[in-house]
Amino acid sequence: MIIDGLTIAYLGSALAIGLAGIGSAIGVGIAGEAGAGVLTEDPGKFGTVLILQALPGTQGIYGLLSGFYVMIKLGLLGGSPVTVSVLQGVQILFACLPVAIVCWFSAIAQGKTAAASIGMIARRPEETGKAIILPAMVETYAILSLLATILLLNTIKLG
Amino acid sequence: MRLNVNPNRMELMKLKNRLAMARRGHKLLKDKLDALVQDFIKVVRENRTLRRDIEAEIIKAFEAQNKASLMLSEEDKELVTTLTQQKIVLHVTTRHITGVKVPHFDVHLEGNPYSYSLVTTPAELDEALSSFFQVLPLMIKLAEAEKAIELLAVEIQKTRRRVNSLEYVLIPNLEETIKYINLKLDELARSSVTRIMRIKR
Amino acid sequence: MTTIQEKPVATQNTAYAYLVGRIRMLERGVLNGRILESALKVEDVEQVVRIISELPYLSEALQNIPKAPAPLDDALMSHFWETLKEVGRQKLGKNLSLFFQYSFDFNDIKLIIKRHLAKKASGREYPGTFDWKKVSHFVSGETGEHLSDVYRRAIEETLAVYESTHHVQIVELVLDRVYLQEVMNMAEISESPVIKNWLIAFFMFTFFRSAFRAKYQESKFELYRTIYFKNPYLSLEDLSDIITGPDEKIGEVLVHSGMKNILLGEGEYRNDPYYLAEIEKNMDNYLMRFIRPYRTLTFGPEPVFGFLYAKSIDIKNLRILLHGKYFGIGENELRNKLRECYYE
Repeated sequence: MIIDGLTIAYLGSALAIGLAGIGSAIGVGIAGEAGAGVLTEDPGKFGTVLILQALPGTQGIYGLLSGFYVMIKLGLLGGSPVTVSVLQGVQILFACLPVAIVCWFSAIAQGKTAAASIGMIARRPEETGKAIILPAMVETYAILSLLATILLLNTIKLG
Repeated sequence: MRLNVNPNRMELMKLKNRLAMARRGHKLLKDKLDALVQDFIKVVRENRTLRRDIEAEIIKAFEAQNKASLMLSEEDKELVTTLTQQKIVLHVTTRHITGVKVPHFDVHLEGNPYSYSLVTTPAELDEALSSFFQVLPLMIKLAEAEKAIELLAVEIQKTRRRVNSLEYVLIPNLEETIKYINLKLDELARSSVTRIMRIKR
Repeated sequence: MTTIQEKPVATQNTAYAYLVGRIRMLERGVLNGRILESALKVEDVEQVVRIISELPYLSEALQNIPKAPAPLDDALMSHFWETLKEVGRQKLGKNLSLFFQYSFDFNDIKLIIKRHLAKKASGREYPGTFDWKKVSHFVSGETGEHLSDVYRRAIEETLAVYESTHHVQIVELVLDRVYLQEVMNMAEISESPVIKNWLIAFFMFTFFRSAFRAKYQESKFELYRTIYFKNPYLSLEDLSDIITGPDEKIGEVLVHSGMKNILLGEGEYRNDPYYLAEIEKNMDNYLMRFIRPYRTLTFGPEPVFGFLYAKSIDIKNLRILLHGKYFGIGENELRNKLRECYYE
């Protein structure tokens, strides 16, 4: 068989890093555009705008984290590579899906919320705290998905 | 003041005629003055009510204009006033009040006054414009009445001066002169009587 | 019956994030009900200026301007024009600011043509997207000048129609028609159903308004029809009913087009300029209420368009306030004339 377990596990790792990264890029992009709009009028708001813009970036990091975890588990980063059966490979792939999919969408959603919050601090600079909490709430689900992925990966025992 | 004339019967006759004429003229002028004053008072009264009406109308028109300008930008104002097609035709004739020539104005507005956009101007502008077009003929009427008053006043002044000069200058002077000539003539008569009496003696 | 009564769905296009972000800053310079109320209370123009100078952007626009209505008005207009230009400079904002820029442009063209017909030397120039000299040259016969097709056709048609009728109002009617045609085209190509419906509402209101005005001015219907062009929203028969029919007929026409309550409230139509002014206010307020709910959106063209409309209404309100205080018009009468604000 051409497709072996290791390849499928690679796919899982790649999806986790790739999809979450795409999501984060889009999210940061949206927030960045809104931020640029605000900074055009008032460059003094750079600090808060930067925090809000960076928020959707965390999903990409979670994806990368999951991807690395898979690589470590497979022994690709130092140590000797382990043998992975096709079934185990599919398990790893599925375990990676929560972080891949949830981070993809949540990053975009968070980007939009962050853009809205940037709009909010533009009009009401005194409400910066609240403006940061709102997009941070979206983060919860990204963290939960990361947790799910790590727990799922932990249950897979590789020989 | 006595006139500088030779005290003889010829002059006396002349002066008496002049006095009679002056008295008649004085009476006539006095009648004319009364008539003029009567007309003047009538015109002034009319003018006063007209003026009050017009002032109310003008205030209304300016208020409407102010309200319209609340809604117009500077450019809109220029647009509204730049090109209009209404023509004002004014006919001037004269009429007579107690022998005084006064002008009479007939004003016609021709054409559509509304020459601005229906879309970009406020509705208040219509009101402002129509009230100004109501005021305009009234204002011309007022101008006519004011001019009549002015002309009448000038005429009254002139007539009164004539009456006064007749009454206080010419007639007393004539009377004084006639009295003087009479005295002189009497004196002449008396001196001739004494002369004749002397000769007879 | 048209679609404008329905609540359309906003586009939520994230491509507008930059513009909306900027608008959020600029919106701090938009008037609100509280400021208007305190400006109504004060005595003179200077104090009004001091109160509205609380707002950013507006305060910069009004700095060092003599405190008289005319220069203040000019300053406000050029402030609005600069804002439009700022938004129009963005690729996505171009079509949004175009609607407002057109009203400037068409006014300019009207003025240039009228000055030409009145044989007046060219006076001061007002904001516009084109070069005034070019348009003046074009109007006075130098067809070689480069002008956009819309303006070129509009000017040529206006001059031709004036040549054959020699009626001054026709200059305005023809150009207003071209303007409304452009508005309808904008509505047709608008990507946002909200803005599309807003433009259609504006378009219908404008036609109704012109018909009411023509009725008051007792214009000949032959003259009025110059402004009309065939469109799917209003028929010429409806407008002719308004102009030539009795007052009661107007209620029917408005019910038929679904506009009765918007324009007249509960009342009956009266052919009186002050009543028409009231209707004009209702129109502005309706358009404001129509776009206002979309101001909270973060994406899409609606908040940008809403902001620009809010700005244009602000200019109107400020003009009412400044001129009103200058002429000493009473507080209540002014309050009656003020339009609703974008923010309460």
